[in-house]
Amino acid sequence: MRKLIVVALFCHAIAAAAEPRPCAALYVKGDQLWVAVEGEARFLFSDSLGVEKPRWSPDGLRIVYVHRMQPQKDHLTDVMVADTRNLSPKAVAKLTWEDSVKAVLQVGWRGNEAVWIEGHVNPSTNIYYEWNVNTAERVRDLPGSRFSWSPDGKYLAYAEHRAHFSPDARRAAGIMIDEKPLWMPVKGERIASPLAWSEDSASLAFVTTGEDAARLRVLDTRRKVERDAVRLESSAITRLRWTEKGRVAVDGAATDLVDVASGRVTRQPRATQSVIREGETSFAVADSTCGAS
Amino acid sequence: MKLEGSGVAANGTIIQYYNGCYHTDTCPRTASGVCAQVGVTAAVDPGTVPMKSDFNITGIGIRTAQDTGGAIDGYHIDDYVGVGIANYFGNSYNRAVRLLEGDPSCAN
Repeated sequence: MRKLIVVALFCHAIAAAAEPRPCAALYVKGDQLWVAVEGEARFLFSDSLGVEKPRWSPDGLRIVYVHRMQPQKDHLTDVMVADTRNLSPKAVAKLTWEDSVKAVLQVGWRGNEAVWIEGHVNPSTNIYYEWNVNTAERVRDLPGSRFSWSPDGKYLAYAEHRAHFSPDARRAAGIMIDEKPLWMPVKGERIASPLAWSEDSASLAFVTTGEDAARLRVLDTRRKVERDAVRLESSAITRLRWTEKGRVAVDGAATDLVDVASGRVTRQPRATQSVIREGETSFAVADSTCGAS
Repeated sequence: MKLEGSGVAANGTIIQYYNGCYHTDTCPRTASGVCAQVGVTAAVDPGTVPMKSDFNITGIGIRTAQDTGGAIDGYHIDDYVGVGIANYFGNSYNRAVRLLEGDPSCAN
């Protein structure tokens, strides 16, 4: 274990994690994966093919990540899983051009036994692939985009698949949950942000842009109705996250904190990404157990 | 093709798959209505790069924002490289595609 000269860990932790695990953050240095735990940096492993988008399993016992994209004819990247107890990464899946993935956009866990990726296919659609980590069997594939699992692990929300270059692509995508439509855009409107579930898995927030303004929309997923729509000034939205007391933080050029119940919007300077500092060098936090960030 | 949404038959016909049926077109048609061209067409987020604007991608060249889609957000750009390149890298090709002719639900 190596002691850092200076470690700064800024967590925008609002909701406390359910399990009393120490605050730990994964970060990548070159081809190495490190973890910072309460001010101490620990080297985990290195992988000459790269370590991208590492994510802890919910129980903290495994880490999933992908290799760098290497656009060759028969091999693009691999989905890797490392057990934190022995730190020997193993390939769960090898992606080739046959899988139509041009870039890996998201990596995640479904429970502790399955991993998934969202791969970019073309301007109109991405693809969700899921594998059982024990058998390496691909158990699900689903075209669409902006995939997001509810915190309780029961519902997969995403934007509809569209066939690119077809008239179908000119219709804006609606939102689906488990292959059933939940919300459809009106004319001129499109989804312009990731989909963000509330901690209780009852609400889904996202931003739309239309002819007049951007709006934060909140859907009640159990009653399947739109609860609220709040007008925003935000643009270039990169992240949505639920904070305490029913508020949604919309990170774009600045951060808009939206009180969903009242519709009040408080503009703040853009939220700083969580980083680890070693001397003069900063490393982005890839994943952490420090609560919602 | 069902995933990509469109492809090209051996005779050059553009085939699209949507709403459960196969359809044809004369070219890969972008969101702006023009035909996609290699070395010209790029897909952008219109909120970030205005449609029809020209822009330079370092190391790649000048492109025109002619296309968009629900999977393009923010600073992401897709450069159109044509169907032949995709075929070379292992996507299905030289396979017979059967149009569902005669199925009234798929009539154009």
